[in-house]
Amino acid sequence: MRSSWLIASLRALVYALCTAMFIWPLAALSTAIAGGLGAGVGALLGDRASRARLRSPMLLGAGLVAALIIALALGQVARSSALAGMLSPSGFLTLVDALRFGLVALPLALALSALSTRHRALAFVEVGLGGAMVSQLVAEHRHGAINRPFEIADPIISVGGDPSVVFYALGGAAVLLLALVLVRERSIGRLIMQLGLLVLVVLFAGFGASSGVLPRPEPQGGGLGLTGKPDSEQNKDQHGQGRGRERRDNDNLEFRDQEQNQDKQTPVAVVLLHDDYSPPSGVYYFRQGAFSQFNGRRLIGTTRDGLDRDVVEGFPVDRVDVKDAPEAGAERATLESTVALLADHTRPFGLESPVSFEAAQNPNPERFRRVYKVVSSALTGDFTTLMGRSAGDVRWSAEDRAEYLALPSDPRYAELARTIVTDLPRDVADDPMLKAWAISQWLAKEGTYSLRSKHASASDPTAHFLFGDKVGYCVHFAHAATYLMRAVGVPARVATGYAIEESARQGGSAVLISSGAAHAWPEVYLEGVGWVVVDVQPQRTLDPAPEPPDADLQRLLGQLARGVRPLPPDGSPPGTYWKDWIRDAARWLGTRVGYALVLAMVALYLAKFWRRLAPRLASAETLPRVAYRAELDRLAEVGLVRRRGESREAFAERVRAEFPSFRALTALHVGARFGSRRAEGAPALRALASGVQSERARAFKPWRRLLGALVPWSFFRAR
Amino acid sequence: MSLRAFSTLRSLARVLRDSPRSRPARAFAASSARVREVVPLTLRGAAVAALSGGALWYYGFEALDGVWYVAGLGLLALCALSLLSVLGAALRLKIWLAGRAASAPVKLGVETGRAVRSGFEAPALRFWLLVEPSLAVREPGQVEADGVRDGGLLREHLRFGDHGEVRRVARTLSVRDVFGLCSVGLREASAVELDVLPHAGALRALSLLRSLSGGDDVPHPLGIEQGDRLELKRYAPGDPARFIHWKVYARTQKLVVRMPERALSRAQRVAAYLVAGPGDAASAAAARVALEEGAFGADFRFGADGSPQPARDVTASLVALRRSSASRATSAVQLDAFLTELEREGPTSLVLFVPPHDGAWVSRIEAVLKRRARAARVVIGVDGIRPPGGASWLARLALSPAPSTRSELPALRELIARYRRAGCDVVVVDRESGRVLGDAHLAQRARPATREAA
Repeated sequence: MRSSWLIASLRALVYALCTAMFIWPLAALSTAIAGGLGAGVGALLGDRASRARLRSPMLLGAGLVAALIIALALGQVARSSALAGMLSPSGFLTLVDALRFGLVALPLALALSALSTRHRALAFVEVGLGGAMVSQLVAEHRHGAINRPFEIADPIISVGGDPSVVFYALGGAAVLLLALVLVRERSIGRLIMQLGLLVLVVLFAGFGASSGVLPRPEPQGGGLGLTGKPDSEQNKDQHGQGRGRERRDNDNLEFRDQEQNQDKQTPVAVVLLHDDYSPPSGVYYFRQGAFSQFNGRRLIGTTRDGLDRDVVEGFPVDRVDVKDAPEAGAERATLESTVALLADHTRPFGLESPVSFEAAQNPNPERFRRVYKVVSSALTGDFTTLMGRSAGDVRWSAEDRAEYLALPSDPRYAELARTIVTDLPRDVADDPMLKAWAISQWLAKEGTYSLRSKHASASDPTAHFLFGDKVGYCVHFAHAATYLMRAVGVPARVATGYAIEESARQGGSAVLISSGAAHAWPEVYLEGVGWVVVDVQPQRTLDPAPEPPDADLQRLLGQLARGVRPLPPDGSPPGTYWKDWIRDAARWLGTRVGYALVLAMVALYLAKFWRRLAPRLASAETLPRVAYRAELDRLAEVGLVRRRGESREAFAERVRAEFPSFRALTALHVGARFGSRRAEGAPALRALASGVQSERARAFKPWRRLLGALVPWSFFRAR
Repeated sequence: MSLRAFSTLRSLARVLRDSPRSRPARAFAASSARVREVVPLTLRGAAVAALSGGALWYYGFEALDGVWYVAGLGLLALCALSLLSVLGAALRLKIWLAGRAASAPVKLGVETGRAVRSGFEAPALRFWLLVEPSLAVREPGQVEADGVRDGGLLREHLRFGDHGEVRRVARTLSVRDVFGLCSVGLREASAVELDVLPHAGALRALSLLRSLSGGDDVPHPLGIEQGDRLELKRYAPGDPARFIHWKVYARTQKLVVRMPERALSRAQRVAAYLVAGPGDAASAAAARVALEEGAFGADFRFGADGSPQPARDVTASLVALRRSSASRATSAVQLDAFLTELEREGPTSLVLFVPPHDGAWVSRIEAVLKRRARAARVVIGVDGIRPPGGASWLARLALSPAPSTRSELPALRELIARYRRAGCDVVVVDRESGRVLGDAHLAQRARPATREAA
C-alpha cells in the first residue's frame, strides 16, 4: 500500500508534538495543546500549499505577516474588558492564549512545511527547530545541572534514578521525530521496518551515551589547565611510591587578557568530606599543581628534583604517599576525603595538604570519570598560630632555597615589598608569616579583580600588573604576591587547584566543585608546617559575584558519589527504586500482554476452526461460499494465495495443474455469487471440497500441512 | 508602433526562453549534475550533518545538553547509516549492471504522453532498508522516466514529450535513502528502437481535416475571388456561424452551412509539408491525423523538414514526420526544393503545417509562396489558447507562472494575419479541444481577459 497521506500525517504529528513541547513550559497545558493543534493543521495545509503556485518568498512572507497580524489582533482582544466580562477573567485569558498560540503557530508551520517540501535542503531548518524545541523543554539541565528542571528531575530522583536518562531519552525521541519529518517512504510496511531500524540506531546512540562507550561531554580546561586529558607523560598512573620526578613545565598557567569565562557553573568534581572540617581561612583549597621555578617571565613547574614533591603527577592505581607531605600536629589535622571526578583532570587534586592518594571504586561509572580517596593534613590554626616560625626548610640546599626565592630582576619588587612590610610592628617585622600576610592584605586592598586585563603582551606581565593598573585575575595576584614575598626573603610559590567557600557546603558533607572555582594562589613555606596558603582576596572586583552552587545538585551528586540511592530533595522518604518500578511495570505489562496473546491465539484458533467447520453447518445458499472459503484457507496454509490483482478465476487457473477440483469449486462459488441458480447440491460441493483436500495431500508433505494447520493466523492470507 | 515594438520584444523574450542554453551554461549544468551523481551526500544531507555536528559540539559537548548530545549523535549516525546503505546499494546495482546479459533493443511505435516500457530493468532493492532506486533519463530530452516495481525488479517506463526516432536512451539510475540525505547516480545507456509520434489529442474527431484534399485554386469567373457561397454542408464545430443557412434549419431542424463553390480548375493532387519548429507538436499531430485519416486523398505527396524528398504513402510520410523533430534548426529551408520537385509533376494543392509561433521560417514560407502562383492552405496546430491581458501585478508578483504550452492569442492573431497577407487560407486547429478555431472563436477568446490568464 502506498500512500502520501501517511507521510503528511506523520509530519503534522511531529509539528504538533514539537510545538506543544515548546509551549508547555511557557504557558498552560490548554495553550500547549492549542499550539500543537495549530502547528499540526498548518503542517497538513503546508503540504498542499507546497503544490500551489505561490512563490516561495511570498509564502514565507505571508506566513510571517499572518502570524504577526494574528498576534497583534489577539493582543488587542486580550485587553478587551467587555469580552472578559462575558467569561470569567481567567477563562477569557486562557481562551485568548490558546487562540493566540494556536493561530500563530498555524501560518508559521504552514509556511515552514510548504517551503521544506518544496526545497528539500531546507529540511535542516525543520531539524534545527524541532531539536531546539525538544531540547528547550529541559534546557535548564545544561552545564551539568542534571537536577533540573525540577519538575522532571525530581520524580526521577525520588525513585532513585538518574535524571540524565530522561535527557538522553528525549534526545532519542527527538531523533525519531526529526526522522519522521525527513522520511519520504510511502510504503507502510517498509516505513515500519525503517523506523524499527532507526529505533535501534537511537538505542545504540543512547546506550553509548549513557554507558560511556561514546565520548562524553567535556568542559573547557580553562586558563589554569586543571581539566582536560592528561598528556602522555602525565597519564602514567602512580603505583606504590610513585615515579621519580619528571619535568612538570605546565604551559597552561599563562597570563591571559581574556580569561575563559564559559561554563563556570559546569560541575567538574564532587568532594566528600569524611569528617567535619572548617578551614581557618573559610575557604577549602584543593591543590592540584605548583609553580615555583622562575623562567624569566613567569613561574613554571620546577624541573629540579627534590622540589615540590607534594604535587603528584599521575592518578593512583592503588595507594600513593605524597613525599614531603606535612605531618599532623598542633597546626594540622588528618582529614580523609573522597574525590569523584566528573571531568578529566590532568592531575589528581586534594584538600591541601594531601598526604596520600588512594584509588577507590567508582560507584557510578556512567557519571564519574574516576574516584579516589585523599588523606590530607589540613591546616587547623589561623595565621596567628603560625607566627614565630621560620621560613623554609632546613633540609633544603642553598640551590633549593634560591629556587623558591627567585624573582624578576626588576628592583621595584623589592622596593615595594620593603614598603609594605615597613608598616609592620617592629617586634614582629621579621616574622615570615606576618610579612606574607601583610603583602596579601596590601594586594587585596590595592588590586582590582577582573578576568579582563591588558598585561599578557608585556615582557613581565606581573610587573605590568603590579606597577600598572593592578587589574587582573588570580594568576596576576598569585604571581605578584609570590614575587613580593620572595623579595622579603619568604620562600613562596604559586599553587593551582580549586577554591571553594566553606559556606558553599551548606551544611552537607559534599562539596561541589565547578569549573568556575579554578584558582591560583600564593603559598609560603614555614618550618614544621609546610606550604601554607596565603591567598589574596581582592576587595574590589569588576566581575559579577559568582553564583552560589546549586545545593540540590551538590547533594544529588554527593549521593551518587557515595553510591547510594538519591533521596528526594524535599526530605520525604524515597519512593520505589526505579529498577523495582520497572520490574513491577514489566511484570504487570508482561502478564497482561501474555493473557492478551493467549486470548488472541484462542480467538484465532476458534475463528480458524469455525471457518473449517462452517461447510458442514451451512445452508444451501451459503454452502458454495463457505466451502470455497474453507478450501481457500487450506491452500493458504501451504502458501498458495491469490496475488494482488489476480482474479479468483485466474488463481484457480494458475493452480489448476495441482488442484483441478479447486477450479470447479471456484466456478461454482463465482457463479453462486453472481446469482446462478444452478443447483449443484451439497453433495457435489462437498465432493469437490474433498477433492481439493486430497489433491493438497498429494501435493504437500504432512509436515508442511501440519505446520500450516498450527499457524493460527493463516486464514488472514486467504483472499 | 508601440504595439509592434512590444510584440517584437515579446517574441525576443520567447526566443530567448525557448532557445537552448549557452555552451558554458550547458557545461556547468552537466558538470553539476555529474557532481551530484558522484558525491553521495545531498545538499539536504550536508545541511543536516552540519547542523547535527554543530549542535553536538556546541550544545552536546560545550553546554552538556543531554538532548542534543543524543540527538546529534543519532542524526550523525543516521547520516552515516544512510551513506553506508546508499553506497552498498549502489555497489550492488553496479555489479548487477555489469553482469547482466545484453538484450535485443525494444522496437515499439509510441505516442507522446503515453508511458511505454523501455525494456530496461534493475533490481528493486526490496530488502535493502533505507534505500530506494529511481530512474531519470538524460538523453533524449523531454522524456520522463518512471521506475515501476514488479516483483524484485524495477522496470523503466518512459513517457515522451516530443516526437522523433529514439535509438538510444541514456539514463541515470539513482539510489537514495528514504530520508533524502544521500544519493548516488549510476549512468547507463541502452539501445532502443522507439518511433515516437505526436499524440493526436482530440483531433481525431475533427472533420475538417478530412477535407484537405483538393482546393479552390482557381475560382469561378463569375464569383468573387474567394468563391461564392453556393454549396451546402452539415455544420461542424468551428464553422463560422454567419454561414449557417437558417432557412434550411427552420425547415429541417438541421444546421447546414454554405460552402464556397467548387473550383472550375481543381488541383486533384495535394502536397503537404510539415514545417518543424519550436512548439510544433500540435501541428505535427494535425499532419499525422490528416495522413492517417486519409485527408489528403489517394494521390498526395508529403514532405517535412529533414525529409525533402516527397513521400507518397502514409508509412513513409510518418517516418518523415518523426524525423522532422531533428531539423528544427533549419525550419522551412527545404520547402522550396520540395515544391520545385512537385511542380514538375503538375498542379498541386499545397497544405502547410506550421508551428504556432513566429520565427525565421515564416519569412521563408512567405518568400516561397510569393514565387508560387497558387494559394496555399496553412494549418496551425495549437494546444489551447492563452487569452490576452493577463494577471494583475499582484498575481504576477505572488504567483509563479504556470507551465503552459498554450499559444498566446495576440501573437497567434498576428501570425494568422501575416499568413493571410501572403495569400494563405489559414486554419487553426486546437489539439486540446479538437476544434477549428475560426475568427469568431479567436475574437471571443480575446474578450475574457482574466479567466484563463492565471
